[in-house]
Amino acid sequence: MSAVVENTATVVHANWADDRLHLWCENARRFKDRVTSRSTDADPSDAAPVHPFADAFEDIKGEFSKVVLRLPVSGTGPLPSHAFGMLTGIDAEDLVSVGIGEFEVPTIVVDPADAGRVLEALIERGEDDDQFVAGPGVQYFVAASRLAAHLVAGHRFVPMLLQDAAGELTGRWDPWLSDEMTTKRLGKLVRSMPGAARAVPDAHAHDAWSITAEFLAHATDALCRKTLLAEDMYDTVEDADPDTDLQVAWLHGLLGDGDGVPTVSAQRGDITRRVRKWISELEDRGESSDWRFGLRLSEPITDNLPQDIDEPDSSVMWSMSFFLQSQDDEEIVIRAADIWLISRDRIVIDGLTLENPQELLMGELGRASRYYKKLEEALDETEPIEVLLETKEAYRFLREVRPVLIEQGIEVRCPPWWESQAGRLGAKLKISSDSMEAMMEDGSGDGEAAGPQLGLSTLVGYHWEIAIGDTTLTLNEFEQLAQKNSPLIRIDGQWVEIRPEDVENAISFIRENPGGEMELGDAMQLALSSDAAQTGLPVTGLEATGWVSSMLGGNEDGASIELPIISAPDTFLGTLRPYQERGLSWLAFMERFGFGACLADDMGLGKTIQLLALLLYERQAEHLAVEGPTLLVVPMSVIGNWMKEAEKFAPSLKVLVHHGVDRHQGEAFEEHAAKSDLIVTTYALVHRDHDLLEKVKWGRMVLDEAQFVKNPVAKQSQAVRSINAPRRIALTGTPVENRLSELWSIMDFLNPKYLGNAGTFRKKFSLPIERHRDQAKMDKLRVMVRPFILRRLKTDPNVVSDLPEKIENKEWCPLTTEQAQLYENCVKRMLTDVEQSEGIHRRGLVLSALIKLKQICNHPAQMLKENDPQYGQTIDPLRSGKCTRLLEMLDEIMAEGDQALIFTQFRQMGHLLVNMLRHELGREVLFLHGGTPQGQRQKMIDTFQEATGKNPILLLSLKAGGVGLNLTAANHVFHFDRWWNPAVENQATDRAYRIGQTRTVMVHKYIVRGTLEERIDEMIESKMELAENIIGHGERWLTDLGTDKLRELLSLRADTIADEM
Amino acid sequence: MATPKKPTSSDDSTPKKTAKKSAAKKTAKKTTKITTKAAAKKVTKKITPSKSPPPPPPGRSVKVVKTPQLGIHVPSAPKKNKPQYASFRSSRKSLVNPRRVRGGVKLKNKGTDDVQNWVTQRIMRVAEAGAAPDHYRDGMEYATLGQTKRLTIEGTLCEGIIQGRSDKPYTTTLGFSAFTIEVQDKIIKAMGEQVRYAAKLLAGELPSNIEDVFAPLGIKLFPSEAEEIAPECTCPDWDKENRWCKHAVCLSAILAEKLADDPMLIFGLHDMPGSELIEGLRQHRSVGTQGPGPAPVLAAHVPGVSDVSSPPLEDVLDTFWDVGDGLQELDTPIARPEVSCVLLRRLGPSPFSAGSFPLVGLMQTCYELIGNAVVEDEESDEPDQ
Repeated sequence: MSAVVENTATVVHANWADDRLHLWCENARRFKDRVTSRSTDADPSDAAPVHPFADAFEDIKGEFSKVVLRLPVSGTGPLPSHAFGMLTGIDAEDLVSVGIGEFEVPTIVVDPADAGRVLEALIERGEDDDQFVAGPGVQYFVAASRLAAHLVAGHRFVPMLLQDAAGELTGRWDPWLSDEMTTKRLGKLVRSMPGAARAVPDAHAHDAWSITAEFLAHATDALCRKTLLAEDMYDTVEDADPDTDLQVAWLHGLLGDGDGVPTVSAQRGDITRRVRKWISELEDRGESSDWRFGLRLSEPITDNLPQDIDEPDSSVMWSMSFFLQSQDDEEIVIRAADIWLISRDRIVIDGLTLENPQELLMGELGRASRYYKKLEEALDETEPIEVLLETKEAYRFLREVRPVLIEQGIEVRCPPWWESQAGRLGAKLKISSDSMEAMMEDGSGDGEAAGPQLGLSTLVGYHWEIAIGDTTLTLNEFEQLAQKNSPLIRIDGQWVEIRPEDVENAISFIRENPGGEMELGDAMQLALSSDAAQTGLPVTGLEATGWVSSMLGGNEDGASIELPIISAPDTFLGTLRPYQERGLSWLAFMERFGFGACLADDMGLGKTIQLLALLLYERQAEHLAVEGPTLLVVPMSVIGNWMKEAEKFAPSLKVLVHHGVDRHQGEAFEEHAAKSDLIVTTYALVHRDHDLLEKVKWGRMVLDEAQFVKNPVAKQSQAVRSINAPRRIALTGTPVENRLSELWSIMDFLNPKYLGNAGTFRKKFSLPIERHRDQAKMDKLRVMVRPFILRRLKTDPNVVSDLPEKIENKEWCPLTTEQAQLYENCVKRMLTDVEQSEGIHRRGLVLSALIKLKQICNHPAQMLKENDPQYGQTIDPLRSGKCTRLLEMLDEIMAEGDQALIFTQFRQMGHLLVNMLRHELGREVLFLHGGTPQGQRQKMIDTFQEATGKNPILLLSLKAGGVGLNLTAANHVFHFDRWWNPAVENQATDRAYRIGQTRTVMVHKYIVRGTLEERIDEMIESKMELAENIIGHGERWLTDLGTDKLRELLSLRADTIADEM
Repeated sequence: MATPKKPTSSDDSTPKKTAKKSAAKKTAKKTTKITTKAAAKKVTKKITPSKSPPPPPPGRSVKVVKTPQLGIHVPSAPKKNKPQYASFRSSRKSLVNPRRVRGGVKLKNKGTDDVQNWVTQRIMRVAEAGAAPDHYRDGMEYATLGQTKRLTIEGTLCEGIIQGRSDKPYTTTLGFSAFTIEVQDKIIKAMGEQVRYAAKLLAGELPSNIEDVFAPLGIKLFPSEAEEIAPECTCPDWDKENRWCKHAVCLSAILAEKLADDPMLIFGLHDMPGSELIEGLRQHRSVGTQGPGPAPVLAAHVPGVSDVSSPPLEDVLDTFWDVGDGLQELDTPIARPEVSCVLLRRLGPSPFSAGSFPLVGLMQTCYELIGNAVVEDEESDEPDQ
């Protein structure tokens, strides 16, 4: 039982120096062996001292090098980074810096061309490995590389010419950063640059922009050259003579693997000026800064046009008129026609002055005609107000010219249907299924067939239609239309775009997919997640009839699904809130149609009782009887909760806990299982007792805290997925849609194969969404999984109205084997000791033992006084049932963006928790206790109340934090150990539950099962006479109890220990 | 030592104090501080002026005003040269009697209470050194009267048609030297390294200590010797070997005022159009934060990004290891562009007219190859597991 976790902590850092990216790391091994008291004064040379615990990051292959870095220091030397401090359990106070010092750090260098790939791999490794962190520099340069790749993919780079101090010229591909869309991104990037990423003292002078610009330029150039070399583009200029043609000279520096531009000095002025002038065209955004030139494309006057599908012939003309628009107020527009009409040197409109409007108009028109030749026609006129375009010209303008003009600072207004999804050509999938009523009746007939019949493999009728906006067309109609060969056509009085490239695809797609029957799952995948690359044209929608439409029609909160509402059965001892009834109905509906369902309500909304109600409901309704028991898989830490809740709300259910050393094995288990309604077991046992569990014919399998299967390749997850059960339900409180590997695992458990295999899913969704925030992919995935997930938030209006302002829950935690042993030893020793003593002495013995027992319940380390975390030492939460549960719950709370207060009566435990939580959650944790100075107190409270998400957890010692404070930024309150005085506890709870609190406050009271904590809780609940003694007197009353009473009260009850073996 | 003096008696120019004057005052005020700084330096260098100002013309009543105010922070140096210029604005009746010109170019800025614009001072100091005192005085009178019928500036030449006493007006020119390309590059580089110069110049203002930038390079922006202006005139007084005629002085004064209004003109007079300088500076605006290594011929200017400098590391100790929130929000899906080669389209035809090489066409191929490769690389991103 080692108290110290072996530390392999590594934090990798990246810095840009000498045109290359340098990788180095802090690691636990170096840190342990570091020389702390290195005197820098003694060093005779001027060189920076060597960093005492930095190392080259040798996991990456590359050339060794070194850089000098300016880093935060304490009195003794460079400080560990925050991430490293958290990994190794260094207190936050010990990371406070007093200044900056220079240190030499060994590095591995990475070529700019490989930087993006190498860095992304590091980020990925950090996600998989708890002991590995990709530091701030790595995160920064990964984002920068990403930006470079994004710009290159979008053709947003320019050939550039560079000149060094000696006048020599080189070629380089530079990212073009001055356009508005890029500027915004770039600004975000540069402003995010951590000090750590600009720590190299060089000519950049630690300037974020300078370093970033250079990195981007090198990354861009590397990306470009890689392709150009692979494509042998250099061959195109190899034979041309750079001496006679400067273009060739320039290209020599751009296309090859060398960047030199061969010129003689006499040519240099010429070439640099020409290139500079050429590229600076991009910055030419017009003369006037107050008024902007604009073009408006208007549809042909429609009066004399036929309303329906038709080809507008060449006599139909689109008009493009000119105007000037105020930059201050975009509403203010002066049309060219008015400018000529007014014909003054100065126009004042709404207090805005426009000087020389005619000159400005003509000048800008001239500028615009550089990018759009058609405008030259207007320049020939004396008073141009518009040019007329044929339909094809109008289309070309919209497709190709418009974006160029907009980028060049010209305002372009076009009809609203352009670029709206409604105007696009696409394919629509129509699914037909039986009506809901028919299905429900059909199933109600005989009990035998009550099992799920349908699911995603149900065959449904389907056919494809070509759709343009809201209009659907037959193939015949569409073919006619296509023959007109016009990119813009009118349908039902509405102009739509028919991309020539889409037409053929659409025709061949419909020909190849005449319709028929397919599995529902396939149909949904096709309609919801396919992209144009697969089908040849965009799939614009899915329409369904019958029960499928009910299933697909729901919102995320399930409110709009048309469901037959089910009430809680009589056997359910309690009341279901309206949203819980909806949850129950939804679960029943999904099971009825054979879909696995995920109930993902926020923590505290009562997922447990919704499931218990479902079990009771199907036992009440004869025809719904499920054949076989339900297997419920839970994390160990919540077994107690399930048992308590089942006892309380569903006492008629026969519950079997399959857990602990004396759990049933072999046939005994099968027998017991067959007689039970609900078998509760743990994730660990599903894997360990897999063969045993597989023998039972389960009616249903339920995963609680389903995020436990988040790692798709973990043995537990595989075991869970391989157990056969016709009905599947997952319960989770974390927003699974944001954690994609979790989502996949859960969905694959619920509806196998629906999201494809793990590898495909990762490639298709996880990578683009998580790494690159691909919103389109995210939306697609959300649409796909929405029918299977019901998630209600505490804040949903539908839910809020059903909720009380405060919900109190008891969390029943198990003891670990270590805790149980310590507990039993402690009780035994105390009982022996008290036998032999009397009076004050005896009381003292009892009291001190009681405190020890409470400490053991909290964490063995508290009782064993291990709470003196040294550098490189952390406390393992898994040694305590309470801590394990606390971390699980905090994880959910933080995922929801909520904040929590944690009360403990032991200051020592507070310190221990701070250390543990920082390390496990990777966030700074605030701790307010009796010894906190007043000034710091207020600062802590303010920080917490600001709720920036950086400090979501505030620990308080009960005494220090009991009264007066206003902590309404929290909506969760934990009572980690108990005071047994509801008044005191309520006072603490009221820090969050008070005026100013706008949300429901969830109170979580931790109780360890089988221990004195449970015994005392029972006494209070049963309102025994004794209870009055308890309340208000802490544990003192216990000291007067006789030895037998003490034994009865304190002895550990069986089956409460967490570990299976 | 001459103290700041102010002619108090009304002279014939007083009525011409128009609204413009207050504007001129304003600019003069704006530059006061800078001027005094530079001047302060100068005054310590030459306690004794090499050329002592000429004695006040006889009959002029001189009154010292506002000395205390100026005395607070302004050493007398800037005024030191002023009396020469101010001297002609005396109360005396015009001694010269040229044929009056209607609508001629006149000095607008006279009788100023404030410190003269330093640009004006520089030019006038040269004129004063070049002309005999009476020529100088008469020339200034001409300038005030508006004897300049026309003023044109073309290339390095400033030409004025000036009406004297005879029927025919004289043609006077002031010639400046052209900066070579090398010198121009040097200037841009030198000024670009001082971000504040760029900002001032773009605002149409010429920083007074701009010459500090040029001196180390051996470049003179403003003339300091008479020869550097190289005047010529068609009048009989004109003597190449000798001193400046009054027409040259008159033209200098007019030009000086023009330069004070639009200092960028001085670059034009050295055959370096202001637009070119500004363009050059535009590329250097990020200089100062420019990294090591060769510099691109056109440096990116990203408003709000490249012109903001980062705080020193010492000031960010608390957040040294933290990436900003913005990084999480960066959304950079890699996708094909909506319009292919959009920058190339915006660039237009090749800047090299002479070559027959299809530069733009070749570039287009490059763009498409490069862009595709990146998108395809992204799409084929194989999962590691």
